[in-house]
Amino acid sequence: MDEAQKIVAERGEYKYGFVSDIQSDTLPPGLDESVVRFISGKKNEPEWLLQWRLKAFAAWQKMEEPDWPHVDYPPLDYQAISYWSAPKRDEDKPQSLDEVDPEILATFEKLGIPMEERAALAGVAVDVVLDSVSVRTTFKDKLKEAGVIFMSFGEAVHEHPELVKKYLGSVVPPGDNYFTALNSAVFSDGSFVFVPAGVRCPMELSTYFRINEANTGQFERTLIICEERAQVSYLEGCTAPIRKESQLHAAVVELVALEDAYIKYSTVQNWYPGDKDGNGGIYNFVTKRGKCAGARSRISWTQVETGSAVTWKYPSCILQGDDSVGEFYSVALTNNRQQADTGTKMIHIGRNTTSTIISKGISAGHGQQSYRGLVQVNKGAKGARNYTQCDSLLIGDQCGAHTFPYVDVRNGQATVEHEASTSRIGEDQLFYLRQRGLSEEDAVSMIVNGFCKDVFKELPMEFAVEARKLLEVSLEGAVG
Amino acid sequence: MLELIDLHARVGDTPILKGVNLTIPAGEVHAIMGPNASGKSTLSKVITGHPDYEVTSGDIRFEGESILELEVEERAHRGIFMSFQHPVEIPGVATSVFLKESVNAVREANGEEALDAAGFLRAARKKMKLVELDKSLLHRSLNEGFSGGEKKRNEVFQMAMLEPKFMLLDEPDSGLDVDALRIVASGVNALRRDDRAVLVITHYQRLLDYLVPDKTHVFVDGRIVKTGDAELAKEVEARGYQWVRDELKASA
Amino acid sequence: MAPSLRHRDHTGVDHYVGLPRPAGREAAAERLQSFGFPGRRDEDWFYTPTKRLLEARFTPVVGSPAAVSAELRSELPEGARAVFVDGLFDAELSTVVGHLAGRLDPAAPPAALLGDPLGFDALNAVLWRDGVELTLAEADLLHLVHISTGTQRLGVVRHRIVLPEGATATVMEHHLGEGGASLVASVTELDLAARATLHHVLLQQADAASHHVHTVRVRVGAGAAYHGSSVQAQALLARLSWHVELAGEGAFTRLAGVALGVGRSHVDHHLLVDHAVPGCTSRQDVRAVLDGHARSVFTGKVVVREGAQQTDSEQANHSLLLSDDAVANTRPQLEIYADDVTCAHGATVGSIDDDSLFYLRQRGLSPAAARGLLMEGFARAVLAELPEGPAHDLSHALVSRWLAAR
Repeated sequence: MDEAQKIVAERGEYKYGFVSDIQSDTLPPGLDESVVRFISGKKNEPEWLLQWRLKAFAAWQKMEEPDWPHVDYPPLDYQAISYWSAPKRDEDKPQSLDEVDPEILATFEKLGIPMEERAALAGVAVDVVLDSVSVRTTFKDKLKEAGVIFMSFGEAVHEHPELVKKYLGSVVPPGDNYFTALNSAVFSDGSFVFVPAGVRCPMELSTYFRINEANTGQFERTLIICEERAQVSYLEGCTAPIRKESQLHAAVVELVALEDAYIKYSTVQNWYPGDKDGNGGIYNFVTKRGKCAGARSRISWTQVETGSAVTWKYPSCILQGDDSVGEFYSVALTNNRQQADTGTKMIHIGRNTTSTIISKGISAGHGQQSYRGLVQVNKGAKGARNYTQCDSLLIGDQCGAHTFPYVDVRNGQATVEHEASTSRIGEDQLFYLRQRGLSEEDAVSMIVNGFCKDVFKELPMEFAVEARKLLEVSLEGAVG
Repeated sequence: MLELIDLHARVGDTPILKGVNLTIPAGEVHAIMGPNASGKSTLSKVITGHPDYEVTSGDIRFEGESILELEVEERAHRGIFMSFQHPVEIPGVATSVFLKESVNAVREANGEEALDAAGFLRAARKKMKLVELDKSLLHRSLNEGFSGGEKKRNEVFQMAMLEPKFMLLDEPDSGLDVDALRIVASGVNALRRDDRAVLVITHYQRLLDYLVPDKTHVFVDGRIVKTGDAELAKEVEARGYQWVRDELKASA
Repeated sequence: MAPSLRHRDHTGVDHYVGLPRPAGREAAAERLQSFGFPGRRDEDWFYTPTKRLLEARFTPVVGSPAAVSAELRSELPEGARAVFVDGLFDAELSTVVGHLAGRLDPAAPPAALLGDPLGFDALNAVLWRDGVELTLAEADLLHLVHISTGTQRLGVVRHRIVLPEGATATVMEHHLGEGGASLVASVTELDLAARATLHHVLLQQADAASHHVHTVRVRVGAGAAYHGSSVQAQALLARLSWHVELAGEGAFTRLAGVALGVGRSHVDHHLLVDHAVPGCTSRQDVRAVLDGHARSVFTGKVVVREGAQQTDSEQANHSLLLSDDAVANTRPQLEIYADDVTCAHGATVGSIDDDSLFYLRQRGLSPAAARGLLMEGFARAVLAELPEGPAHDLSHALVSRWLAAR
């Protein structure tokens, strides 16, 4: 093992590993039509939504799990998972933080989110999804003043059914792929955001997830809509406890941006990645897609992913409106035995659309990481421009970094540029920095930060800080 | 030789030239100085007929005739040459191949006989000495891997080969050190004649020490706001463009 | 390694397996029967549809080679050449003597490099009758000419060429044709011993209705260098599977390709460079100039195996689209299992650069002349490293001719 590898040797104890001892109301494992009906009933959904779920379920039953990603995992038994779990005291959702289950509040404490203080100071509204149920947000009133609707998906179905009905499935139809069909059938809850025309959401919206009960699939459904000239910045950050059996997370996120709107969706994902030998850990299969429906609209995906045992995720943009812009900035880390097959899809449909992809992959230990991206320029997408840069940083010689971009250009007035490079943290680099007085850890940090600079600068401020620290913790012991 | 008459031009929806009036007689060297974003680069693009720019009113007359309806290469055939601020690199196209085609295109348009390979090479070797360019550059791809100084000297070399009537130098000094500057200037000076005119667009005054202008114009906000002789250039350099703006305001 | 059957297509298999074939080809026929041809969802044929090609069921010429028109005969290159007409050696048109006259024995077992062939390679393994088997000597320049006489003919040919230690040689493969639709399935295997150098040029200017599926497999020994160049012009379908294994330390390869497409032509470059050992260098530079409804597909895979440290790999793919109906698909792929490596790739798709166009027009060139110059430069940049002589001259001539005829 060389110097560089030694620093990666011992991974720090998973900081967020603990279990919340909240009593839950859990379904036995198994999935059939009755489970779908049960979930819909529990949430008191209108008939149209139940039918929508059932249709998705029927489609799912006919589909096959995809087998092409460059990842290797033991087959999942979908019948061995429970599809519903909620903290006991949830009949009437708490009206204010005082009414929240103290156990839950303690959970927040352990997570390092002193709700009152941090939320108040930073002005961040928090919507917590705790095992399939949402706790009312703190700053709902402030948002209400601005006209922004930010609530759990379940609530939105009841309070704004016409909006949900209009946009649900408009960007990711249930039949899109195996996991979206599953999600559409059994999704439990998620976030709903609606920003009316001309409104800039006054604060960053955020959500923290936790998967608690063993074998509970987490099927979040998020829908964010920005009307003309509206803007919102949404943060998604996740932590999860250590579990022996792997846990499945198959979420669907749909974003709709109308004319001149701007949606910024940032993710810091730190789910349990499995132990050093690859046991346990979350399976993260997510479909995230944004539709730039209106002219001059813009959607940016920014993500820092360091967790999960297996990741399959391609945040995408459909650039339908003329002059619309799609962006993807990503840092992904795979260490120990993590595997990731991720990337993005940019589909250029309207005229003079632009997309930018900056993907930085860091692979250490025995991690295997693949970037899979598609840039598609349709026949009518005249004047389309794309710039892609995907870079890999390898730490140690046991890991792998692969890139599989697909570029499909169907008209003569497009400009597409793609660059990729691979590099490593070298002995000589480490020696040089140490000779200038830096510790090994700091040297690795510095090199990695430099490598990720282009992505970090796109993150909202507080996320950027957390992201940097996250990367440091995740790489503890990676070199050597 | 060149007249700009109340010239207005825009790119897309943005007006950039807002009424430029300028007359450059044959045999003279004129300099234009201006702050960034004043529109001086646009001026050179409009004179040479760049398709992205649209003349909205006014006229450009070359040797007494309006050239607004002429295409880029047609203006080149008439004898207008621009030395680019950022000469383009064209991999795979040897400098000699390109230049021979260019020289012959201009000759043929003017009813002259094309040069054959030997004739071209003879002329090329002679003119390269003018700017101290190594003849190996002839065989390399156009501007590829050339240093900043080599690129600018290559522009002057092309000028020597094409023998234009009107030489428009768009910031020929940007990115050059003193030595390269002097070579460029001496190359241009060697090409000066009574029946040729030069318009230099520059940001700094330095070049004008070597390429002394008959007239200097200060360009601000899409227009010429002040005209003087070579001394004006020194004054602007010393006092800055803000001084010019203040003067304008005072006299308004 | 058997592929997943759901990505295969069995159209036409019975026809090809049913054709008369040389003895000893049962195993290959069984493979073709079981695994058929690549289908729509086969990852390696992702953008190149095979259905219509398979439905067309071509038939080989048996016995002696068919007649070749005077026009085509006048295009034959000077020097040592082995000519194959529809896959059959034509002694009259060939001029090979001495050690360059070696021929493959149809009864011999398939060569080691190709391993277990699939799809069109399997078709080749079943039906090939002729080809050269040679060990080249110092400074040899050999032309392998393949002529397709057209309508519905199937031409299958196979070559195996070895370069001994330290040798230098040039091999040029020419694909010519007339008479309309045909299918050519060729396999060329090249084995370079330590410190050998081979320049290999593949020029395709076949009939505009023809289909060409070429497989080139190369093994490069320690310190050896393989310079491959390809110019694909004219055929309706041209698929080049170009796989190079860098098997000895210090091996080098450069793969340069130009695809020139008009009408409905479809060119598919499928490159694979396998850095199996440390210290090797590879370069890929493939370009396409596309007009009409033409299409260029590029898959460029670089695999750096575990332990293959000090790998230096660069890859570039650039496509110039001249019409609104032209299509470019590019998939540069990196699979990297070692860390002390330098791997980069770049791909661009676009039309002629406006700034370059303006510059040349300001120097007096008409827009057409300027465009012509830019396209020629674009295509030639790839062929810049060809050695002087026929390799350089013939390749450049092909490009110039194509551009002039556009």
